[in-house]
This record gives sequence, structure tokens and C-alpha cells, in this order.
Amino acid sequence: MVKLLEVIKKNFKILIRSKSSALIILFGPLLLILLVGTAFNTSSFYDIKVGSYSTSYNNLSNSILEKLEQDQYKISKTKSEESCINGVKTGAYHICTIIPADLEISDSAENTIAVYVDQSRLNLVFAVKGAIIERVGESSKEISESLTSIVVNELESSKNELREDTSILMKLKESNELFTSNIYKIETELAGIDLSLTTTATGEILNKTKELKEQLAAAQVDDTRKVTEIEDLTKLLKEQLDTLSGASKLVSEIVPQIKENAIAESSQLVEIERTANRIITNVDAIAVKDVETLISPIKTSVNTVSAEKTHVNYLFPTLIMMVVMFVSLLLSCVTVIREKVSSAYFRNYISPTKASLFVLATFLTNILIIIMQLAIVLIVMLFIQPELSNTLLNMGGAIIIITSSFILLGMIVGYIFNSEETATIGAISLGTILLFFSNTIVPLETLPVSIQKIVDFNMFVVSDSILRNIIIFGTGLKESLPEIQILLIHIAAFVLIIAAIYNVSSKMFNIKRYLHK
Amino acid sequence: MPSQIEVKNISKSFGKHEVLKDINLEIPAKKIFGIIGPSGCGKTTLLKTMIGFWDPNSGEVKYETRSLKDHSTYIKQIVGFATQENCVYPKLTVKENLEYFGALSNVPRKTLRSNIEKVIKFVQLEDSTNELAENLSGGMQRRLDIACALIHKPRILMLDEPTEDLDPILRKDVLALIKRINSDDTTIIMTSHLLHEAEQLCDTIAILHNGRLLKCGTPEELRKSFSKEDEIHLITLKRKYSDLIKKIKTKEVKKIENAGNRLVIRTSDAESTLKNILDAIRKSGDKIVQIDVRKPSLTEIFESLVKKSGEAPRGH
Repeated sequence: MVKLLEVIKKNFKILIRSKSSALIILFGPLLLILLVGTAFNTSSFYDIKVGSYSTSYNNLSNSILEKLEQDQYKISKTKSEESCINGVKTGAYHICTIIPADLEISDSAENTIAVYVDQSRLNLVFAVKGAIIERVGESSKEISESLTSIVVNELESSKNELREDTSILMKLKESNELFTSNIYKIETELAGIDLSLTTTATGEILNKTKELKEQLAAAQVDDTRKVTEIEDLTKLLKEQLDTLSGASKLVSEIVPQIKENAIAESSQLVEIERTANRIITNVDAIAVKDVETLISPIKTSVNTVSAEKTHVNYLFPTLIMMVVMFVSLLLSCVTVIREKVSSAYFRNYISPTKASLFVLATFLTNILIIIMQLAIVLIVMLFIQPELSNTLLNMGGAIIIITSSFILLGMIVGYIFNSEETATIGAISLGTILLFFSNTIVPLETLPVSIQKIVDFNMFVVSDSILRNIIIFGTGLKESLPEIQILLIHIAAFVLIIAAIYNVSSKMFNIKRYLHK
Repeated sequence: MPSQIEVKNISKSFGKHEVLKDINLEIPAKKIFGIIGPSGCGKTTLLKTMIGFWDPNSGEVKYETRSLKDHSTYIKQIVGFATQENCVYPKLTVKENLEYFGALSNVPRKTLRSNIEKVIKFVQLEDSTNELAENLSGGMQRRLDIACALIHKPRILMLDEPTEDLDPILRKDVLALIKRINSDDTTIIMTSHLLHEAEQLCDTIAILHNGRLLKCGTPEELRKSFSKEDEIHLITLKRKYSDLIKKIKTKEVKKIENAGNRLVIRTSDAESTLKNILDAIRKSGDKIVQIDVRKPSLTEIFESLVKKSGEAPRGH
């Protein structure tokens, strides 16, 4: 135990007395957390440059751009479509929008806004593209609301007018029915008038008057004026009756036609009434008349499973992970390699001390330094996010397991390589691979399934998942037991590897040193 | 005298490169044992194999009859080792280095404190106790390295090229320190490619060449094995040697060489030849400017042995 403490004490002294090491150990994490805290303690995007091109801007296109400007996007109108797209390629703009000339809403008009993005900047593209499309969508929704509102209002007023006009229709229908019934009556009345007797009767009258006239002539009565008058009247009557008969005949012929028309019109009126009623019923039957509901019948809302926070809060688990991973890998590999290449290594070797003590001391030195660094980071973070204090215990436990696995991995790198430079490159490369095959840069879902299965065992992914569960969702260590088991398996494997390579590595290094002398 | 360390048939190769070939040594206790040879002859490898840093391909090393293989922890406890690279932590102070290596060597805390004081005084680093090792001069660093090797009071101290890269004054200091350590009954095994240095300091010398042990013995034994003749170098005031050559020629005198201003006489009996030379000069009225009786140097012995082995030194 005395020896172990002495070796740890020696390791600390050497690290602290080396100015660069001390700077990295003490001020590195502080600087990192300060920069990250300042830079990401917001939930917005700043200084996003949007290139825009249109052969002719109008009110609509300008209003879309104004909306974007209100969201702190920097809009630059380019001179050509090509320069706008090239701007995205060269990084002058984060996104380019090509707006059709005189953007307008009509059936024939071209109203597609093309958005160009640089897919290589995945995370930014997803965020900015979403925001731009949302703003353009808002304008589109406003226009859509106005158009739909007109349609709905017109429909409603047409229905009301139709309902009002239905009473006129009813009156028409009633008058038509009266008319038809009158026609029926006329027809009946006409049928009751017998004009066939008139000719006979007038003929008899004329015959009687002729007989009377003859009788009067026979009677030598000179005055026959009265008889002539009767005769004239009778003739007149006959003429009138003939005319009436003709008219009656004509009426008898027309009335059925009128009756037919009246009946037909009546049925048409009924049909119109029915149609009108159906239209009114159908319009009434439209359940949704609210314009907003009509243009977006299904609404989506994205809800967060944790309280809305700033970027730094979401970044914190990954930030911790990156600090833990890179510092653990680099520090442990550098500690091992510095010891290995140190001339004092030989004296350690020839001392009556077991090799395992040096390995353990190196491990403990590293874990103590990293815990010290993380303590600094956590203290600073507690000012930004005081609720983190609830998770400190779980976080501490998780960090010890996570850090142990990365330190052991870094130590293996140190034992494998023979110079500080190559070991550092090795550790950085390893860290980069672990980081690249995690959700931090590209979503894991973009990888083929076979690779995804391997990546599921990536220490960074597993550790990040544990810390996210604890820090963002406030879960305990139990909930992350499967991930913790994976890390423990890694730790066990690394310990075995170190046990196997420690002596071989030292001997090989010394043989190489001997042969290159 | 029974040997404290026995090296039996040690061979060591790195891949196809054979560094040590069948080395046999018997190192007596409380003496200074030197392993000499040119750079790259295998001196450091031999020392590191003797302490167990390298595993030999064959052979074994025994310390006080205990096998290194089976008793490595015990042997590490009784041996101190100072290398030519100064095995200390530059970012630790003199005291911290001693505390650290003392703790590693299982020295109890109380004993360690007094050991540190004694060792610091012994290596004369009292004024630099709290100095970082990286701020010490080359000689002080070498002394610190030796102090670290002594902190657990080892019975055997191995020194690999202890005077390497040191200026003549520092070298003298270190050699004096080695003598002081040895006077404390500590067995010292040291390597050096500076043959005259080993000749001055060591009780026993092993000559190593291309991984082979050419010869081992006291300096006197080595000289005798090399040549039984002494060399007399003479310079007179008149520097006229033809008459003198005729007068001193006896059966003991094997060879006389007139090297311009000096005369070199090889004789099997230096005493009688010297007497003859002094008589002849007195009679001729000449005066002696300089006269030396020289035994063959270690360098000459080494060169002769290398020539005999027929192998050119590695790395030359």
C-alpha cells in the first residue's frame, strides 16, 4: 500500500510539474466547459446565412424572406441561381433557396421553392432545412387559409341564398299547382258547354221565321219588319255561336297541352326543390367548416420527453463523454509511454516490486486525475443546470465505470506503441473511430444493420447512452444495467490484455531500443 | 575467497544478433570487479542479464549460491544498479527520487529517512536536496543515480559506465566515490571502455570482446599473462646511445631499440638491467634526463588479446 501510494504520488508530481500537463489537467476542462457553456447555452441558431435567388421578387416571396430574417437568418440575394448554389458549396451560405419569379398562388403558376443544402454538414442541414421549410410552410399556410376561407364562405353564403330562394320556389310550385287545377276546371267547364245545338236551334228559328213570313205574306200583312229583325238577330246569333264554337274547339285543343306543360313544370319544380334541399342538407352535413382544420386536418406536434432546455443541456452527456474518452485515452497512453521510455523505468524494473503494482498505480493515477477534471466540469455545470445535483450519485458511479474502461484502453495503446508521438496518434485515431461510429456525428441508423450490430458495443455509444439516461432523463444505474454490463466485459477483457502484454511490451521496447543503439 | 556472484555459461541473443557467448565469471565479495571492453562488446547486456532484466538464452547467474531465476526478489533487494543513462525522474527532486526508489526497495519509512540523509551526504549532494534532478549538472546527476542505487544499502552495486560522458574532474569525483563505496564493504561490479580507468580502480578485471570473455584476473595477473618482460625507457643528456647499447647487452636484455631521442630496452630482469644502465652512464660521463620502467598497459594487453582472437571489434 505504501509503495502504491508512493508510485501514485510520484505520477502526480511528474504530471503537475510538467507545465503543459498541469495546464491541460487543471485548466483544460475549465476552458472547455467555459467555451461550450458560453457557446451553446441557447436554443437558437445564430449567423445562419441563407442565399436566395429569384428572377423577380414580389410581395409573397419578400414576405417569406422577411420571416426568415426575423428569425435571425442572414438573407443574401444572389445575382444568379448558380452563384447561390455555389455559395452553399463554398460555405458562403448554409442553405440556398431558389424562389420562382413572381411567386403567386394560382392553378397555372409555378410555385415550388427549391432548397439547396450541403449534405456533408448533416446536423446543421437537418436543423436549418427544417427551420427554413417551417417558415416557408407558414407563408404557404397563410395563403392556403385565405384561399380556403373564401371557398368556405362562398359555400356558406350560397347555401343561405339557396335556403332563402327555396320559399320562392315553394310559391312557384303552389301557383303552378293552382294553375293546373284551374286548367282542370276550365277543361271541365268547357266539356260541359254543348255548342252543337246552336246551329239546329238557329236553323229552326230561321225556318220558323220564314214560315212566319210566308204566313204573314199569305195573310196579306205588309208589315214584316219585326220578323226580319228576328231573322237578322238570329243570323247574328248563329254567326256568334259559330265563332264561339270555333273558339271552344280551339280552347279544347290547347287546354290539354297547357295542362301537360303545367304538370311537367310542376314535376320539374319538385325536382328543383329536392335538389335545393339536398344541397342545403349536404352543405349542412359538412362537419368541419373551420378553415385551419380544413387546410391541415391532421396536426402534428413534437413533444420532448424531457423539459425544454438549451443546447448545452442536451450536449452535456456527449460533452462529458468526449472529455472522458479523449482525456482518458490520451492521458493513460501518455502516462504509460512516458514511463516506458523513461530512463527511470529500468530502476523500477530492477526494484523488488511487482509489475502489477505499477499497472495499478498508473490506472489509479489516471482515474484520479480524470475524476478531478470532471469534478471541475460538474461544479461549473451545476451553476448552469442546478437540477444536475439530483443525478450526481448515479453520474459518479457511471463515470467511474466509463472512465475505467477508457483508461484501460488507453493504457493498452501505450503498451503497444513505442513512442509518445505514435501512441498519441494511436489514441486520437482510436477515439476518433469510436466517436465517428456513434450518434454524435452521423445517426447510427444510417449505417448498415450488420455494422450497427457491432457499433452497439462501441464503448462511446454505450457510455453516452448511460450518461444520457442519467443526466437528461434522470434514471438510475439500474435502468442502464445492460450497458453497464457491456462496459464491465470490456474492462475485464482489457485487464487480461494488459496482463498479457505488459512484460512483452516492455521487453520488446527495450530490445528495440537496444538494437537501435 | 568464495565468489559472491557466479555467472555460468551465459549466452544472450536478440534475434539473430548474438550479444553474449558462453560467459563464465566468478565475482568475489567486497571487491571492485571491472568488465572492460570497447563499446558494443556486450558489457551492459551482461550486467542487465546478471540483474535479470534480460533473460539469458542459456546459463545461469547465482548470488551467494542463490539462483537469480528463483530468488529474483531477494537478489533485487541486495543489488543496486546505476546505469549510464541516469535512471532518475528529472521532474522529482533529489530527495523525492531517493524517497521513491527507497520505498520501491522496501526500505521502512524511518530507516529511509536516515538512509536518505546518509546517502546524500555520501554522494555530496547536501546542497541540492530539494533541487529537481533535471536542474543538476551531469556529475551531480550521476551521483544522484548512484545514490538511488545505494538507498537500500545493497551488498552489491553494479555500475554501468559510471564515468561515461563526464569531464575529467567529475570523472575523478565519481571514481573517488566508487572507492568510498567499496571501502564500506560493498561489492562493486563496473563496466568501462576506458581501460586505464579500470586498471586504476579494479581489483579484478574481465576483458570482454564481441560478447566473449577473453581474459579475467587481477591487473597484475593480466600483465603477466600478456608478457614477462618490462620496458625501460631512457633519455640521456647527450642522447648518444651506440656505446651504451654495447655495454648493457646481456642475456636478460631481449631487445634494444633506438627511437631517436630515446632508448627502449626490453628485459626479463629490469633490476639488473637498470643497474648496468646506471653504471655505464656514470662511466661515460653522461647524465640521465628521464628513465621509466614500464609494465605493459591494459590497452596493450587488450589490443594483443583482440589481435589473437582474430575478430574485429563490433561497431568499429
